[in-house]
Amino acid sequence: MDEKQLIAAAKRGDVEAFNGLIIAYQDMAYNLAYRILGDPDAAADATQEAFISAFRAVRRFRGGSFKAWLLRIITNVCYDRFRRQKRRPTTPLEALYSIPDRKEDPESFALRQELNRAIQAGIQTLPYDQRVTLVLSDVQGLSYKEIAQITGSSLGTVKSRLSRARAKLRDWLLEHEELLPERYRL
Amino acid sequence: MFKSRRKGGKSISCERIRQELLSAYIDGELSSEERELVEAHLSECEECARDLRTLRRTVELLGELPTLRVPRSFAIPVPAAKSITRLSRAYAFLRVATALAVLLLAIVWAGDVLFIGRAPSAPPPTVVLELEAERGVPFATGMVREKAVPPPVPAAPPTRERVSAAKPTTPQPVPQREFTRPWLGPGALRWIEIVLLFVTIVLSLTTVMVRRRTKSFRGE
Repeated sequence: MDEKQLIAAAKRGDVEAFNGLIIAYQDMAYNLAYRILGDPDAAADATQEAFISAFRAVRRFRGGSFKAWLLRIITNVCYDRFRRQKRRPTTPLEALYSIPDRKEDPESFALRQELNRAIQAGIQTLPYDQRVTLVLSDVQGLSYKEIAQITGSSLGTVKSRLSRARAKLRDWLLEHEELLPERYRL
Repeated sequence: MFKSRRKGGKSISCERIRQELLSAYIDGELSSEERELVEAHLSECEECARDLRTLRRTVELLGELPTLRVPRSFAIPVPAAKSITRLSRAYAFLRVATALAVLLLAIVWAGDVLFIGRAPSAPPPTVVLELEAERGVPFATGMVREKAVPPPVPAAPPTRERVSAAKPTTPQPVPQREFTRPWLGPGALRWIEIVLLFVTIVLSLTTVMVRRRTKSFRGE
């Protein structure tokens, strides 16, 4: 079944069909939640909660981009958690969880873990809206238009948030250059 | 910081370049006019060119971040899905029921405070009663109450309302029927209010509980 058929079946209450959609999007959803929240466990909880909300709401899905609809639910769930966890420190990423690129040697894998830690710490310093926009654009590779749809804002807002987020992260990385592996310095 | 450069009559500041244009320039999201403006500026301004390099590098690094493997499947088991569906239906129903109970309670309570409370002993607030009778407000409230109360008891003891209506102190032609119903005494109304309040509290607590259970589901 392709996505349209899965959505149609899920709207009729077919759980297996909805699970097909979950399988297709769970990597993206979980990684988005992790980049926003900076904590693997919180990201897993947020992803599960978002999929359940989506399952309950899928009847009301009125066409358009399912991906944008789903990512919007995820960013909303993350926002609720973000407000609650504000004061709690986040746990570092377990190297165990991430997927090495094909044929990547152990050394460069380790370096990418280091890069990940440094950049994630920088992302965490951004205000929420900028953080979401930056992750959607530069980590997930979505277009301005898709990001505007997901965040419910105008193209101009997306542009300026992204611009400020990138500049802020760049400044942070320049200030904390020692955290970046040499190969990755700016 | 604010130096501005002129080329072909157009001027553009480093600040505007850096804050507004460079990021979109990297993504190829500028109009051709803006792009030309930026490129012309970059060819002359070393600082902004360096800014572009570091910004571009930052975007590249973000693209190199490792993808995390999901710690478990987030698929929803069929039995769990069934209970989620049940719970969310129950939640939808409870929400409406609670809202209705609150509304009903508010109407009864408002009627109580506005009209029964004002039932005159002596001397009656004639002006207020006249106005209300003209607007037909007491009658409307009486109708709402009628639904919720048991059938009339013929030989009820005279209530304050009844006494007041029996001895009208003003010669107005509008009859004060609403205040003459013996079964609508303050006692019965009080009981209705208490029962409604109880129902409302139970409903809202159940709604909150169901809401929390729907939200607390965490998969397998």
